[in-house]
This record gives sequence, C-alpha cells and structure tokens, in this order.
Amino acid sequence: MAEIEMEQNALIISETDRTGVITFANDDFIRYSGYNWNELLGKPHSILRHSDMPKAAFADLWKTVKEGKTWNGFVKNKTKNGDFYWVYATVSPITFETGEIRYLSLRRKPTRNEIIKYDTLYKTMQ
Amino acid sequence: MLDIGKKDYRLIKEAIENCRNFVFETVNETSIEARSSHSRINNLLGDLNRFATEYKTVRDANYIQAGMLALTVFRAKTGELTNVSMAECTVHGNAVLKETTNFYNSLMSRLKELFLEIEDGFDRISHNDLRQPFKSDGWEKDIKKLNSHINELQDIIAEQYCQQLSTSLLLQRNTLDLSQYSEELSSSSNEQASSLEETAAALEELTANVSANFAKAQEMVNIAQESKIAAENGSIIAHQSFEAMTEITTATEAINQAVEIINNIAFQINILSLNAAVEAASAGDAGKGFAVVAQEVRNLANRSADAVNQIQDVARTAREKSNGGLKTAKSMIDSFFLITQKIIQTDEIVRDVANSNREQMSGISQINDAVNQLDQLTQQNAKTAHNVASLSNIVQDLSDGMYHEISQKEFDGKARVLAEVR
Repeated sequence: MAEIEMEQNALIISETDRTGVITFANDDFIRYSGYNWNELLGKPHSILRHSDMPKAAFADLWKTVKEGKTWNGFVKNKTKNGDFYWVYATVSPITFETGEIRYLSLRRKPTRNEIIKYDTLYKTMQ
Repeated sequence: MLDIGKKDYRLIKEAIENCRNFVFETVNETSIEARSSHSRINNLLGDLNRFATEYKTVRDANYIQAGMLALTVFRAKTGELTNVSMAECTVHGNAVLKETTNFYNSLMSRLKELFLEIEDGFDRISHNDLRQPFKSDGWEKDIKKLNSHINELQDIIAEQYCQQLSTSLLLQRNTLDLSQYSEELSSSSNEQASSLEETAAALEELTANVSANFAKAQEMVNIAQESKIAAENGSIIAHQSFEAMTEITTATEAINQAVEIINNIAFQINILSLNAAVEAASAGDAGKGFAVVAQEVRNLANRSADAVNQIQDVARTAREKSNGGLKTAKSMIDSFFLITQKIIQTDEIVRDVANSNREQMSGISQINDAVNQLDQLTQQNAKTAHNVASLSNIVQDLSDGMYHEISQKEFDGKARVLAEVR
C-alpha cells in the first residue's frame, strides 16, 4: 500500500466525543482519509487506525487526555482504500460551557526523519 | 574569558539549530542532550532544552486554542452559537489569540443577547402583542438596519391588523344589515307568493267565466245562423204567398168576368124566354107546352142570375180577402227583411263578442304564463333569500371569528380603529 505524504502547510482538525466517535472533521481530514463527511460523522476515530500502530501508543494517548492533559505523538493512519499517511498529532480534551468534554485533535506533517524513527520504534513495540 | 573546545562548540551549534527547526516547525520534536564534558556547557544545553520544552507547551496551547476557535467558528457557521473555552494551557499562549478568543466570545454573547431579544420579540408577536419595538441598543450598521427592518415589519403587521379589525367590524355590521335585508326579501317573497296564489285562483275563475261566455257566444252565433236561415226561408215563403195571392186576385178577376158573361147570357135567356112566352101565348093552346118550357127556361135564367149574384158576392169577398192577403204577404216580406237585417247585425255583434272572448282567452293565457313565471321567480327569490340568509350567517360567523381573533391582539392603532368604527 502506498504512502501519502501530507503537504507542508496542511492541518487536519477533528473532534470526537468522550468515546472517540467523530463529531467534526475539517476538509484536510476528509482529503487525506479518503472518506466523505457522511461516512465519517458518527464513526469511531479508530477507522483510521493502521495495524502497524502499537496498542501501547493509543493506550498512552487515552490515559493522557483522560487526565486532562495534552498528548503529542506520531501516528500512522490508514486511508479508506488502505493507503497510509503519517501525522504528528496534538490531542487535547476540551470542556464546553455545558460541562461536556470532547477531544480536539490537530495533525501536522512529520519530517521524514521523524517518520523513519517512529516507524522503526513502533515495529519494535509490536 | 572562557574559550570552548571544538566539540562543545559543535554541540551548542547543533542544539541551537535543533531549537530553530523546532521553533520554525520544520521538525515536531526536539531533544537536546547534555553530552559535554564541561558542566557549564551542559547547564547551557539544559537551559536550551528547557526553553524548547516550555516553547512546546506554548505551541501546543496555541494550536489547541486555534483549533477550538476553528471548531467553534465552524459550529457558528452551521447556526450553533457557542463560546470557545479558554484552555488551561492558554495561560502560556499567544496574547493575540487569547484576545481574539475573548472578542469572539463577547461577540457570541452579544449575538446571543440579540437573538434572545429577537426571539422575545417574536414570542410577543406570537402572543399577540405588537406594541413593543425590537431593541438594538449598542448595535450599529447592519444589525441596527436588521432591527429597524424587523420593526418596520412589525409596524406593517400592526397596520394590517388595524385594517383587519376595521374590516371585521364593518363586515359584522354589514352582514347584520344583509341578514335583515334577506329576511325582508324572504318575507316579501312569501307575501308575493301568496298574492300570486290568489291571483292564480282569480285567473282560473276568470278563465272559466270567459270560456263559458265564449261557448255561449258560439251557441248564439249558431242560433243567429239558424235564425237567419229561418228568416230567409220565411221571406221566401212570404214571396211565394204574395205571388199566390196575386194569382188568386187575377183568377178572381177572371171569375168575375166569366160570371158577368154568364149574367149577360142569363139576362138574354130571360129576355128570350119572355119573348118565347109571348110567342107561346100568341100561339094559344098550341103554345101552351111551349109556354111551360119558356117559363122553365126563364126560371133557369133567373136561377142562373141568382147564382151569378151569389158567385159575384163570393168573388168580391174573395177579391177583398186576397187583397188583404197581398197586403199581409207584402208586410211579411218587409218584416222578414227587417228580421234578416237584425239577425245579421246580431250575428256580427255575437261574432265580435266571440272574437273578444277569444282575445280575452289568449290575454288570460298570457297573464297565466306571466303569473307562472312570476311564481317561479318568486320561488327563486325565496330560495335566494334563504341562501343569502344562510350565507350571511356564515359571513357573520366568519367576521365574528375574525373580530375575535384580531381583538385579542394588541397593536398600535387598535384603540383608534375601535373608536372610529364604533
């Protein structure tokens, strides 16, 4: 499966509820994931999860955000047709006026060195 | 003066380059290792590493804040007005971003106030109160314009309510009149119908009378015709009897003349018998028998003369009578002529009467048709009056409903309209 490389200025924004179900995705999210908005709304964010990703990485993510902290990390995502793309993600809990908590996720382009580093690291974690 | 070795210099240069790449986001992560053999260099490298870590916190905070702002703007675009939470980490974040978030949140608060004001306004309108204008305190330009448009709309609605109110009041009054008129129409139609019924009955009687008159006149025409024929027959018979009388007179005259001749002959025979007696006397006995015969002849002559006298008497009487008969026959002819004239006149008059009767009949038939038409029209009128009455009831209900509906609303000009119309 081919790798899709993000553009330098691309910024993927998405929002999920507390259980990880997608409540918002911007145009770059749609562009790189290959899904359209109707396919994404109400789906779990895990539809993007690539089998190469170690479980420990997501466990760390959830642990961090549930503590109310911001999580940073490199993630290999799977597109709708099975291709993949690497992102540098910043995930943070956000609290609404109503008290509802959701998770905001921002993704930028990682460098090639970062990709190689984490691709290698994650393979050792499998 | 502290001079540093080549290795340390490279270490510091690498660390600075690393920080630069991190700040300019060409890399996402940095790790500066304090690998110098000099503790003071390691201190500096540790400072740089701390700087990078602190900067990462700020960078993440800014990213998250900007992301939240983007999300909230997106929600506002779809119609959901919410504030952007100020993330805890934003304490370290960019002042412009914080201020933008504050501005955005105060804009949202103001917009919510505005929507609340508009919502309240529409709620008042939906609860029938149009007297309070929409406020746009503190708003300028577009929003102020929008509010003044809404107020204009409210004024227009109030104006329409005024018109509806006045219309419903007028309609109520007019339908009241209408139902009264339809009642009048209905009762006059009923009266008309009963008058027409009487008229029809009178007409029927009239028709019967005229028709009887017509039959009698027809009979009279027949009788006059028969009378005329009878009078003509009488006239013919009178002429015939006149002619017969004339012939009788002529015949009587002829009898008289014949009797005169017989009388002369009897006179001559008497003279002859007298002569014969004289001769017989002179012949003596020889003539005795002859004298007897002469006497007999004389007797016969005398008896003839007597008979003639009697005939003459009878003939005279007959002449007198036949003259009278003539006169009578003449006056009969005159009388029959007169009678015929009178009968002709009578016949003409009776025919005139019959014709008049016929005309009367056709006149009556026309009147009958007219009465029938009138009757139908009257029934139609009665039906129409009934329909108008039920329609006016419906309109009455509608206008009552309209008035009820509109009178529950409060709007500028309501009191004025009520005062004007009442």
